[in-house]
Amino acid sequence: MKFYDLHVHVNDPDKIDEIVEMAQRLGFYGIGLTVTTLEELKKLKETIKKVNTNIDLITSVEIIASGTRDLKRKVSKFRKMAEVIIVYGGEYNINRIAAEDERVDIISHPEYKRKDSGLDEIIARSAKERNVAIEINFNEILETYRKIRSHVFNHMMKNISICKKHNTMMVISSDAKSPWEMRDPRELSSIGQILGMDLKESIDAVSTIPELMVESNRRKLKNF
Amino acid sequence: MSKPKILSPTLREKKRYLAFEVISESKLEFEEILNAFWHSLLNLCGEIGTANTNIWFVKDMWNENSQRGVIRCRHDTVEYVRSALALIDRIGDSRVIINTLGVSGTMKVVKRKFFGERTLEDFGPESYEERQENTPQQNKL
Repeated sequence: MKFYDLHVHVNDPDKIDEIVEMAQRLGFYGIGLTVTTLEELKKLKETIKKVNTNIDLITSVEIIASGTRDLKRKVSKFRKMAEVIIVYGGEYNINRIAAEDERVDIISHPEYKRKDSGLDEIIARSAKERNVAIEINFNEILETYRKIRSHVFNHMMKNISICKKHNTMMVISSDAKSPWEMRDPRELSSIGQILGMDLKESIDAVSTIPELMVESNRRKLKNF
Repeated sequence: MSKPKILSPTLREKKRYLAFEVISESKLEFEEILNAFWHSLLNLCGEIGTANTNIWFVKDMWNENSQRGVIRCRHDTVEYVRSALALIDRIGDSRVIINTLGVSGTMKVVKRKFFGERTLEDFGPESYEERQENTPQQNKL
């Protein structure tokens, strides 16, 4: 089975080797190297060509938008350049606009810094229709403790139950800022399981769904 | 000291053995990992949840050179134990990833699969047959 982690941040393009080495050790087939700006993306593409590994290196962009207009502008800017588009969720408007946009692949942590789960049935339904996946962010769990972590768990459980009802795609990713925050794919899926996913759903969230997403995006990018 | 009688098979708890590997900046001792794991599991599951897992560290199986060890738990709480291991990110000053290698129902399989232990069966009839196949056949009269 091919395992993917589509959300691994590259702060320094020279340190890609460390990330790749760790991904190989943890048993990933492919990793999504994530950047946030255009310059970083160009630099990343150049460095990926130099790296010599068996691991499938995927370029992904995390869009941090200040508003809905900004989001649409940035999505149309990056869509033809990156293989995976991730939207930095958290605000309700941004979550909703991202779910209604076919060009977006993943909504990252829709519950981030919120008092509610950030998802409702409208978002889940439109995400299902447009093939947008909702992300379960492991780093958000790792960075928080006790009281706040319990709130995060609660919001994630609610999101998972909404997504299960509407058959919305779910993706579990590490959102690692350094190689030490990456985790084994089976461990990521176990986090999904304790939050209410089935065994199949949780394993699909780290294998089949990201694989299909990357394949279809690559096919579309070839046609451009 | 007298012990209680062994329970009937239906009442016995079903166990699973988790083999894990520690990836860290510097080599760690068994007790450091033990403390970090208990802290993580108690934070994640609470006291009742931890009691439910029936956790046991197999101290004899800790290998300091390869940084590998074994945890025993109940068969239906494996995912909780696995995610408690995943939530450890730092022990002392060194950053850590605890990677579960696999789960098994018996200690024998864990030893063979993850610790490279070999038993007499490995040198048994199979290897004899292989040897027979490999040797050049003599001309039969």
